[in-house]
Amino acid sequence: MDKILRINVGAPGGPKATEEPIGDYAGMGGRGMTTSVVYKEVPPDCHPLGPENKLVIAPGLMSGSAASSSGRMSVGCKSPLSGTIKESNAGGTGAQALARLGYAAVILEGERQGDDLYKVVINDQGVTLEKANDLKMLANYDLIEKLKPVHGEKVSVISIGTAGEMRMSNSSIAVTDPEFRPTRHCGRGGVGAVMGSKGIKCIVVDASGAKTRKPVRPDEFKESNKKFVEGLKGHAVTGQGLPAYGTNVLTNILNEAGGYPTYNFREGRYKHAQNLSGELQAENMKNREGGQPTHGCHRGCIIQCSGIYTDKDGNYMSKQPEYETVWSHGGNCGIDDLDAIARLDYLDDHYGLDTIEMGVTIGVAMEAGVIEFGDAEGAINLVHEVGKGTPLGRILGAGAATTARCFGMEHAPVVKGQALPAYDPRSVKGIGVTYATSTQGADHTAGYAVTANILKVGGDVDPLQTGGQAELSRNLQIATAALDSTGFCLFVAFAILDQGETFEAMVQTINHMYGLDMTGDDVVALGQKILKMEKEFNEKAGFGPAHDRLPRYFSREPLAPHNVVFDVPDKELDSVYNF
Amino acid sequence: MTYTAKYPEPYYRDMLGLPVLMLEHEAPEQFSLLLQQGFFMPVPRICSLREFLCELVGVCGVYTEKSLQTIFLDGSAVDDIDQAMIRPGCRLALSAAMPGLVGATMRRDGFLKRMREGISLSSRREEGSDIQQDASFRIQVRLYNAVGRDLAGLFLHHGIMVSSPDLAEFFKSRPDSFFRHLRSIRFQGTSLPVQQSGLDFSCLPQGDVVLRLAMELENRKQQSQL
Repeated sequence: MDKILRINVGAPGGPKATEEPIGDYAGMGGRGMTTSVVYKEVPPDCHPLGPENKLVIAPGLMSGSAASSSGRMSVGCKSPLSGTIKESNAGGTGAQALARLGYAAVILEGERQGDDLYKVVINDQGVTLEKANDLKMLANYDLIEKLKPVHGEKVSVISIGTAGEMRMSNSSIAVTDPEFRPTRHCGRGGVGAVMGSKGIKCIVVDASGAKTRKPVRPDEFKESNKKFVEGLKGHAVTGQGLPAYGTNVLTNILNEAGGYPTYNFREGRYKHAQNLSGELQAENMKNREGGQPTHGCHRGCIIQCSGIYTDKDGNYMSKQPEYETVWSHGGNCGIDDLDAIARLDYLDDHYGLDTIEMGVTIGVAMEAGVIEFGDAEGAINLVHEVGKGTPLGRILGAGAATTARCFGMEHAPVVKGQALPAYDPRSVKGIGVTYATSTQGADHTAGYAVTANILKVGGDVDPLQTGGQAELSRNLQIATAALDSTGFCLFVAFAILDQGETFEAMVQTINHMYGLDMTGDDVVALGQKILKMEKEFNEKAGFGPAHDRLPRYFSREPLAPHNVVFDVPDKELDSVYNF
Repeated sequence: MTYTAKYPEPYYRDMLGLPVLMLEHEAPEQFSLLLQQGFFMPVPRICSLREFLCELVGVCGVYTEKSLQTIFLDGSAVDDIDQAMIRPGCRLALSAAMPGLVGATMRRDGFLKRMREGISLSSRREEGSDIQQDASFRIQVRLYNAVGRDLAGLFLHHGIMVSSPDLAEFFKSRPDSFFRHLRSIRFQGTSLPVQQSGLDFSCLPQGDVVLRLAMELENRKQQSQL
């Protein structure tokens, strides 16, 4: 991974690809790479869909190696949805393929000329760009079917659906999974619109001629990776809970806690949550023909939290919907039918939409009276409207904030224009701090890595002390920024939280891959560096403390059943970036 | 971690006088979807959660400390099972360790518990702490995820109180494989046919019944594991 591929879409005569050494970006991967490039090369005050914005696609530092669960790929740009810097990442096969071919980043830049749409093909022979107007307005699953006879099923495809082509603020970038389905998505922040603005429909990556990346210290790497795998397999969450039930195992728990946002964040508990549970979802997949409750989104994943969801007759419906998807389209919209939610998940992937943003937008539309809460067929029709770009679909495709504005509503559960995920911040206030202060807009993964107590980011935190939500959130955001750079799935965090030897094995795996002697302090420094760049970018883009806030109604309207409000003081929110 | 201790004697033979549906089933874990929906258990006196789990139900030791990582009492996250009190009408939920930041936040006495301090049991006022309760009462229990799978046999061995319509709906939704493990079914001592199509619950009253598993099969299986 020592080179960068730049595709200038505004070059005379059509898009032109050039390769260059990694240069000053050496040592960066994933989010570290995307943030560094956007920070250095994109004017913060530019329009996200203008020629000055760039789309950066970067595999993690460990992607393409034999390290377990290291297939995350980051995409970065200035976000059309939030106006902030954006990093969005996904699993799938893309990161491994790009990394094995030696690419630390692919950067789409320049001003699109004309209306032609292009396909990029990358293999061990180089890069080709082809006009691909026959792919115009194809949704993702149809696109993959059309590419299959040309490129086979062994390649990886990074693509946009119709939403990205229409440059909707809620549009994702899809990555194919091991079954060559477009199921893994860099969903958040409208990154698909930026790819669409560059006129690139898809990037086909054929790494069949490339080999797994070799570590600098192979024997030591093998040993530390073995310990890392043992740690993941032996942990209750990564070794048992996630493979058995997937992330949707959280539905019952959040509902029990009264923190399950229901009916557009009006209530904290959904009376039909049991019909949406991970336990039921897993049973459906186990008992139905073709269903698979335990599945990896990329080769070499030990955790296998993904799955394949089929209908009662054994027909493929979608990949196993994640917790956030089941919530956003489920309890948030008053829909308690897992099959309907799988259909919505499929359509989100098909048209290229973020499932969180889409579900929250539908919840807003339901409260506005466009359709009734609980109307599954109506929700499906709304997603079709988005995918087809009808006038109503254009509004909904612009996200929850825009939809609420169009219907004259205060209840838009967003921060910096991005929809809140599946945890009500009134019940779990520490999450609310992260939602409010993240550089990315409301984002549950910004403070996801639970390694803070091991890394001692920003000093030791006394868990018995009251208050200090900002301190915890800061540490988590720093730790996450660092982990997002490695390519390791965020879920490894649970094993390394509880098992110091597994954390040590992960760090040593990175060290032996690159011939480094990195310590926990170096990891912290990397996370801080990334966050500081992102914060500075946002400030130059016009964001200040007033934007690091939850909508006021979360502080005013108590949430049942606990009747709690979000009451973390502004002063504490403003202290998150004191490092 | 699977719960492997030998099942104790049911702590309540007479479940508040309710009719009893007794099953012999080889795979109690296949009842876990019923257990996540919620059921009722009798409790003879106000007691701590640890007393309820260990002294009454029989969930003790390593399983309690290592596997019961997420506990809610009336929706509040529990950190200390000696402090949490089981009172009339309360709602108890037991779960394994959960993924995600929120999962870690909800964990018993976890490092991130401050992030949910507004809904922690320790931060909420214990109402009626001085109430004396001599008569037995019932509580609602929900068993989630791996805990439902692990403890299904134990709770069903004691007997759980569920509504007849919920029970009928549960049996109706079971796949064929469930009935292959069903050896016998008796209601108030009268045998019922075990085929799915033949299950006739018209004999059940409209209200609650006790579902209990005869655990001879399970105890034999557990003894062979030990």
